[in-house]
Amino acid sequence: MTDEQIAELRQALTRAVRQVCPAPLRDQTDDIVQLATLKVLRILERGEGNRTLGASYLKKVAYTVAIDELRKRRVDREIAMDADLERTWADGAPDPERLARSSRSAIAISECMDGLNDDRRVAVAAYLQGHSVPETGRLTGWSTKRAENLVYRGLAQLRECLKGKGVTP
Amino acid sequence: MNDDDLKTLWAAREGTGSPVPPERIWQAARGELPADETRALLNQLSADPQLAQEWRLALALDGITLATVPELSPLTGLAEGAAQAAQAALDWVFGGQAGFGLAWQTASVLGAPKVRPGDRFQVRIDDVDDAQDRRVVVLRRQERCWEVVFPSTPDEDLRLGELQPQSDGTRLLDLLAAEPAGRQEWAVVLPKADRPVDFDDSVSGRWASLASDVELGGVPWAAVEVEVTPIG
Repeated sequence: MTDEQIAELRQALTRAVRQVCPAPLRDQTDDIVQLATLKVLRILERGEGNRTLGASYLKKVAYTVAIDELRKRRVDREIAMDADLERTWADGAPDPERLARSSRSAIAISECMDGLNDDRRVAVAAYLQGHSVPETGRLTGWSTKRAENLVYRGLAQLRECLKGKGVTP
Repeated sequence: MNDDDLKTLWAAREGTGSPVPPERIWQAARGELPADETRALLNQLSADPQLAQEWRLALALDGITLATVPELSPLTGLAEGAAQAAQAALDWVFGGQAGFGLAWQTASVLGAPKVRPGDRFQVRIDDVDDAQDRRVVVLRRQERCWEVVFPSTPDEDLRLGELQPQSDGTRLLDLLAAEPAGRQEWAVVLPKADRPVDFDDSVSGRWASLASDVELGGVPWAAVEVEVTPIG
């Protein structure tokens, strides 16, 4: 890999990790990316030889090492969670009431998802993950029409359930 | 509550479940797993915020284009030849970048050869030195991924050396054009026969090491594009 390609891979990884990294780990994004990039390079050095590697392969390797790193840090964070919580609350941001409210909302959406039938739950989960309706159909093996119906009805049921639990935007 | 509010609320969930191998999440998010396995994972992630988050990371990373890194896959290797194939329509010969050549021809000899769904056509494969030690694996492009169509059971083990050599040294493999009509992409991969295939594993698991070997350039492969015309 050239230096330019390594820099580009690091940049892509940074963007992706920042986009989805959980708030408590967000300040560790640079460390996670740096470690993941180093691991990718090590893996490539072991297996590459003189071959040219494709973008998909590089992204897959980068993804798997980033996930390993995130999982490791999540475990570390859980161990240190009590201390973190104390610090967060002492800093005064975010305020405890807001934290509790968002936590209640998160629990509510999980409970409401549980109440959907399997197909609706799968379709809505794919949609909320960021897949479009046609893509949801392709992933799940359903026709676009069926995926559309399941997403539409599932979202309606989800909204109704959340409303019933007093969750509003 | 609009869709964006729901997505925000969804992404704010926290919690962990049983870790799923990252390779599997990557494949699922890219549509490379069989639909039933993908549905099972989506069902699982609806109750597992960590899995949901890891899936979103795959989507985010997959969506980013790496401008300086070439996209190398059997499909990309096919691209240049495919354009020629579209012009020539038939009898296109693809020089596989990884070690052997592949051509296809219809079984029909009457008039302008056409392949329709259900028709047999033949793929002509250049011989390789260790033909007896090479297993024939046939793949067909499905949406965003390649699906192994042969072998599907342990009984279907076929070595390249078992195909009768032609006078020019090539070997012919019979294939069946499938629905739907249109441009179909087929590939033949020739892994070493001593690489075990665990047919008790899931479809994706059983071919994971082959996919990885192909990506790393360790296995000869070649692909052809077949124009299948509608019936009637």
